[in-house]
Amino acid sequence: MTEISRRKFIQLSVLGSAVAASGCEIKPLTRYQPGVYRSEVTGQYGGYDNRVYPYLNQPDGLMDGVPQYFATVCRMCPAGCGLFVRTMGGRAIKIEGNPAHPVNRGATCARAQSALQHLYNPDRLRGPVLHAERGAVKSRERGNAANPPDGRKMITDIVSQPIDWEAALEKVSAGLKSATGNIAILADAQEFSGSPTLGRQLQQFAQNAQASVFSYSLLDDAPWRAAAKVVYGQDQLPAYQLDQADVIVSFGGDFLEAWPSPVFYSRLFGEFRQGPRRTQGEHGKFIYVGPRMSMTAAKADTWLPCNPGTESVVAQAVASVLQDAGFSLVEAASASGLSAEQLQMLAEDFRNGGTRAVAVGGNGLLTSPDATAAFTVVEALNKQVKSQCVGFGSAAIPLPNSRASGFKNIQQLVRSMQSGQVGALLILGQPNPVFTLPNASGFLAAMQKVPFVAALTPFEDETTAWANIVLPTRTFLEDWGDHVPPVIPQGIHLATLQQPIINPQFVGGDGINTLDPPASWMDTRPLADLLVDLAARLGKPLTDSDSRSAVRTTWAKLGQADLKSLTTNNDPSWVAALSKGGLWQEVASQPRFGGGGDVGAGLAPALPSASTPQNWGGGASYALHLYPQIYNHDGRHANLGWMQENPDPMTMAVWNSWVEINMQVAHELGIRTGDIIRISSAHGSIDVPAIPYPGLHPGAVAMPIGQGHTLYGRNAEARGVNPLAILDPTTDRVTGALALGATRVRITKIASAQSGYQIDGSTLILAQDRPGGAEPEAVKDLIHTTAKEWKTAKPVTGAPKTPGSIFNRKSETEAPPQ
Amino acid sequence: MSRPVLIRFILIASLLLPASLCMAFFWPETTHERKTNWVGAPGPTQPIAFYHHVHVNELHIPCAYCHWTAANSRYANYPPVEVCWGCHKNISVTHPQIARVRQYYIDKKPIPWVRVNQQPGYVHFVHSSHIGAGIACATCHGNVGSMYAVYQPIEMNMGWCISCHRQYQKKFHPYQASVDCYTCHY
Repeated sequence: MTEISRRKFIQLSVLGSAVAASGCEIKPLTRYQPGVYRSEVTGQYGGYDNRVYPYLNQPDGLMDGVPQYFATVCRMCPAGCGLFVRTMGGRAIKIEGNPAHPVNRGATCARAQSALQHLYNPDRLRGPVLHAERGAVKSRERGNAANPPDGRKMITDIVSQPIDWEAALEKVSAGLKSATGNIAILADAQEFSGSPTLGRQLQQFAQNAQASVFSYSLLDDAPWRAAAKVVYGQDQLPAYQLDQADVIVSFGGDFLEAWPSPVFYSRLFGEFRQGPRRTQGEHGKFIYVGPRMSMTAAKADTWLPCNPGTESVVAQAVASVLQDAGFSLVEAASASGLSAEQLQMLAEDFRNGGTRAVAVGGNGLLTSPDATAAFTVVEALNKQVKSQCVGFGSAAIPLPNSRASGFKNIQQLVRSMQSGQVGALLILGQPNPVFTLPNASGFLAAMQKVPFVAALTPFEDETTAWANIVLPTRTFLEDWGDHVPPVIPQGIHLATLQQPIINPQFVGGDGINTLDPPASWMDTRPLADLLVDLAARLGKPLTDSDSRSAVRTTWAKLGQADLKSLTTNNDPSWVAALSKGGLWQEVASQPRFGGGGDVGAGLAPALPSASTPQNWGGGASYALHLYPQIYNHDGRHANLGWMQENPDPMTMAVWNSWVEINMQVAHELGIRTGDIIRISSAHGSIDVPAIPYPGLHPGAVAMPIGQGHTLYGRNAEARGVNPLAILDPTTDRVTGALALGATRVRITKIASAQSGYQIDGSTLILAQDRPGGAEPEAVKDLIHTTAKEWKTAKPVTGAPKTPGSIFNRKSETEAPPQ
Repeated sequence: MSRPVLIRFILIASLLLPASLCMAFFWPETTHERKTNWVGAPGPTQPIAFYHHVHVNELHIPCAYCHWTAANSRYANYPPVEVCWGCHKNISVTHPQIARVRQYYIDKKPIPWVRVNQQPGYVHFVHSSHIGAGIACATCHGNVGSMYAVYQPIEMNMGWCISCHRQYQKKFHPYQASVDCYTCHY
């Protein structure tokens, strides 16, 4: 190329400029919008927002990226463990136990962990709502609940309108004013009976408003406290110091599970098994008496499956052996279904423990109409051997409110409502009686007669659906308060403080390109503040102005010299109490057996006489054994996804309810895992999947409490069924507490397990079916038995052959390869 | 140089020079330019034309005066608006940009800064450990003090991180930089 023509030059020039031009035209148009920086509207790495909004005024002590910890108390169940909540940027992100708190010593259970979902629950009420029509619903045809056996309306979608706070409070106060003298307050016993300040506020409010207070929640410690009063002279639950014990005999007490203080007892039980009292290879002896092998029973050395409701008979037999009283072991054996040798050995084991033996009561004793008597007999055993493993702590702040049995209270309320004596009903907290009461109690019908119902609660539930107006309150992580646990460790003087962890006024706006003035997205108010506000509107103001000052007033009255100066602002001792999480100190041990009279003769239950055969061997009817489930508690945690997702420790079932049937009985009735069973009592029937369960008395069927909500948020609705609905309203003879196990039911298989997942919620899902899923060591044998029975089952006739279905596994694996 | 060679050289040079000039002018240089392909503005437009050059190079305000959490936290904070207000309550109140800053504070609104330096979500970068090891801010962020609109002169990708970490990884090196994956990816 020695000569370049003019034409060639022009060609090359054009080519060159084209290359140069294309060099800066590589931008694909999809990557930006003209005139807008992509990084301004989206993150450089694909996020949705590349803006950073600094604080206007940075809060003191808050540093971006550095967590802050706050001490508070867990209110997810009555136990009241101390918590440390980790927060980042003012938001609670993790909950762990307070290592110094005497109840839990740094441990927590699944319920405390999932309190975050209680706080950030998508179904929380964000502002006051007015129900245009009480209980107005659209029935969604989902699950068994679409045809509720009780004729109760399916409540899934309430016609509700948001209104502003001023109008809402005006409406509530007008409703209360119109019914002056006929106001009833239904308070959540779990929330109010544990909190001295809230209890005092409620008492004063009721006094000012001339209202009568009915305190109720499902799990009721009234029989237990009545027994403790008789035996120990203390109106308080005893704290069993299991770590001091060598022999534990639990009479239906599932102390490692739902109630009354699982973390406390789990810790002590660990000490019992592996603590300093255990020399090499020695484990202590733990014997469980009760019809169902619960998780606690699975950890026992011996499980004695007595007939349902006869735990107290066994306890009486033990007592008589200890006293050499003339109690017929044979008669006790025939009543309890155990052998006389077993009873004799149990008594001897207990005697060998000496003062290191402890008899433990619990939810299993609540099942019978002789609950108080049963608790008394069990506690009397401790007195008989002068057990040093039973102790009492003292409450640093006395609890003011009435602590009668919740069921007795609510029956009284039902009677008042039925007779039209209640002009306005104020529901505080989440007692949720429409869900937790048997249909036969007639609560719902009675409540519909009340002209005005207002509910103060963080969540809509089956009960608030029937209210005229619902005012959202804050969760315990957003509010001031205090708490005295029902089970206080021995020799501890204790009260716990609750402080707001996060500022609940979430700021709205999409946060991307608008800078609208911040609007409260979550506009809730503390329950105590609402009481203050309502009292002021009624013209009779309370003495405290808000929840914080109410707590400080309570704590200013503490008798301790070192806490006398709590009232001044920014006082170091108040700040110290807050950062510590409350007040606790070692005190001299309370007298264990002083003050109490002898066991009342009339309290000891009579033995079931031989002339009334109970058909324990099966036959037509079974005892319905209901137990509070470790995760759902009394049903108030069924709206937490983590709790639903957590497999039940014994059955591995998730997201549903189930009925446990003795394996032999199930075999005879042709019932296999996942089959739908109809359970009928005199008060209705429920359909629920079955789990043949080896660890259950043949005369009983067992069901967990807590599922079967019809209106309690997306996680709870239409999951399982509610066995409480078909319960007999039988009560404890002494305290009037509801007997959870006094109902006889019939069972019928109505459908075989269907393959695949049924959208109606009838499918039983067992987490152990997941390949490679770990099984808890304690229940391995049990689970394997169930699984074996399942795996060897023939495919369901007529079931669609869905590939991968668990019900067609056998046929699939046996099919010859094509 | 013979005449044909000279002609050829001149011709080729006359082609390449405008092309390379063109390329040099339009070739993205900063991370922002590369990511947005918006060449010519080295950093994003901010709601306020804040000049680091004035505050750092001219007034000698140290980085930590505004970004004080860098030494103690995994994040280096954006200063709260009250920090701007602290000085500009009295200083240069008539400047139009500063008037806007003041208006944000008076209206109680945060200034919606556009983020410049950002690691992807799977990278956990901790400022405090780097500051604690004596790494200067400019090592990663460039000479912000001489910038007007802040841009990202160094694209902080993993190869670049690792080259420094390898250098300081040596046994007994006082920085003890780790090259374990889980140091940043967890």
